[in-house]
Amino acid sequence: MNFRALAGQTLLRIIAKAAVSLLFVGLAAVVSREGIALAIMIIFTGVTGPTIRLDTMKMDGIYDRIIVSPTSKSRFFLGFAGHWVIAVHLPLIPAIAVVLILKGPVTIIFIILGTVLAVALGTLAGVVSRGLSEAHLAALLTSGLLIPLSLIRTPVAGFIPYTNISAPSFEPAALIAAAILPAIAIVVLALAVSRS
Amino acid sequence: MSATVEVHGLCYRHPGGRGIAHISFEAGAGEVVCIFGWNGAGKTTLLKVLSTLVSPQAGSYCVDGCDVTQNRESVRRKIFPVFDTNAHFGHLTGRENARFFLSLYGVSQPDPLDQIAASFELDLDQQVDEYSLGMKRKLLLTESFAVNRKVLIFDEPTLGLDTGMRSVFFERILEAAKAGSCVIIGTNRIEDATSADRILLLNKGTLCPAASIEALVAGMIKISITLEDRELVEYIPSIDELPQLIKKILNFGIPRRIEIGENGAGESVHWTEEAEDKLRCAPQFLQGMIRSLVERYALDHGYCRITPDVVDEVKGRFEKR
Repeated sequence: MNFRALAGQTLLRIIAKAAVSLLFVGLAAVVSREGIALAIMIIFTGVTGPTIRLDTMKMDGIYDRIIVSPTSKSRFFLGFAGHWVIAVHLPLIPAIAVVLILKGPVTIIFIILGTVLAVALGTLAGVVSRGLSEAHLAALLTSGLLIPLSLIRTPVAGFIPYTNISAPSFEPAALIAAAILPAIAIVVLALAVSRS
Repeated sequence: MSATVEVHGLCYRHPGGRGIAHISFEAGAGEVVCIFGWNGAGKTTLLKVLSTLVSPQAGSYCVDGCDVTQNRESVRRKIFPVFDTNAHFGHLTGRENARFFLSLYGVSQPDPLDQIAASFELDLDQQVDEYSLGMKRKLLLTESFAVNRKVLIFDEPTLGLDTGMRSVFFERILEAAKAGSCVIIGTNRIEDATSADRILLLNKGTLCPAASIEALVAGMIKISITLEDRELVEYIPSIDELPQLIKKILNFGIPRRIEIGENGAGESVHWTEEAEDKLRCAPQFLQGMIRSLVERYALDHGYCRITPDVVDEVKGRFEKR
């Protein structure tokens, strides 16, 4: 699959995003909030990126061409989400490096899990939405829910990987708990698109 | 001839009530079938069902023995649909787009791609955002001929193509049919229907008995236009649409000769060299309008040799307005 086709990233965009994200995380690091700043950026770019991309593909008629092709839809959309996980991470590499230095290398697991969750939900939102306004609404709802759920210390927070980006836990139970939601999101996405 | 496509009692209604009802027909391998219908007749809805984009609400649709309601994926492995939108990634080149879409059909090394693109005079290494409407259409058609499928489905395939490219497309269609593919073309252009083995007339969502070209052109006005390097044939339902058509034709070049007549026979308009020269002297922005009015004048007078006097007369009338 073509990375440029599905994720639509150019070198210039990646460099610009890298600079902006590094600035935000750097500013947040001054007040020891670099983990939260990175988590918010992952949620927003991870959810809205694939949602809007799929919606523009629908408007251009590309989505219909993919649906009527004999390719496995589950494999295709999981591949699409995989491309977007890379596309979200690429510009964040300098910001991620800052967080890893300050919070420890284990944080990378939660960053990856958090990106997988955001992208899977974003792809799902893009598949089910019919039109740009619905796509925006779905992306806003998803990301708007994930942020307070990660920040507010409820029992749910333990299952959301973003919580662990700001306060990483090295215990295996925390790692497993953080992996449950991304795994469920991937399965739901695969099932939802398999009958397209 | 064994039926490759079997459609029985197919129905699909949009929430607003429009759609198709009780559509039944069969098409065999090597056959070119045209589904002809005017705007809003239900062509695109029918072709969406045949392309498996939407599921029929009633009836059955089989391709090569596979029922779409039982096994949609098997049907998808046997068809290649071309919709009326030129769906491509604008930021990629034609070649990158073709590779992406053909990979969805399991074609990794499309050997004949360059050859097909060359026949359509298409530069595959140009970015699609820089393509014109016709070039985007050519890319879509190139992709369709690079995949060997039992059924090729085209919705308005010649949209944006000029006459020369239309003939290349129909040559390719005939080649594909000769190789055993069943070709289904949805169109509202009579010129496109003339190449089909069979024409099915779609009217208000229902299929009428097999139509003939003669039946389709009854009451239509045939316009044959000779340009410097090509011949155009267009059909219009009313003479009132002639000025619009002439304006469109002027984009391709200055007509040398225009024949107008019901069912292909009738009056003729001939431009003399002097009249052409005279017209070229007129301001650029007036030329198109004057030419349209000249054509109307010629129609009013039956056969007409367009001489400088005629141009002057029409120009005078135009200026009075």
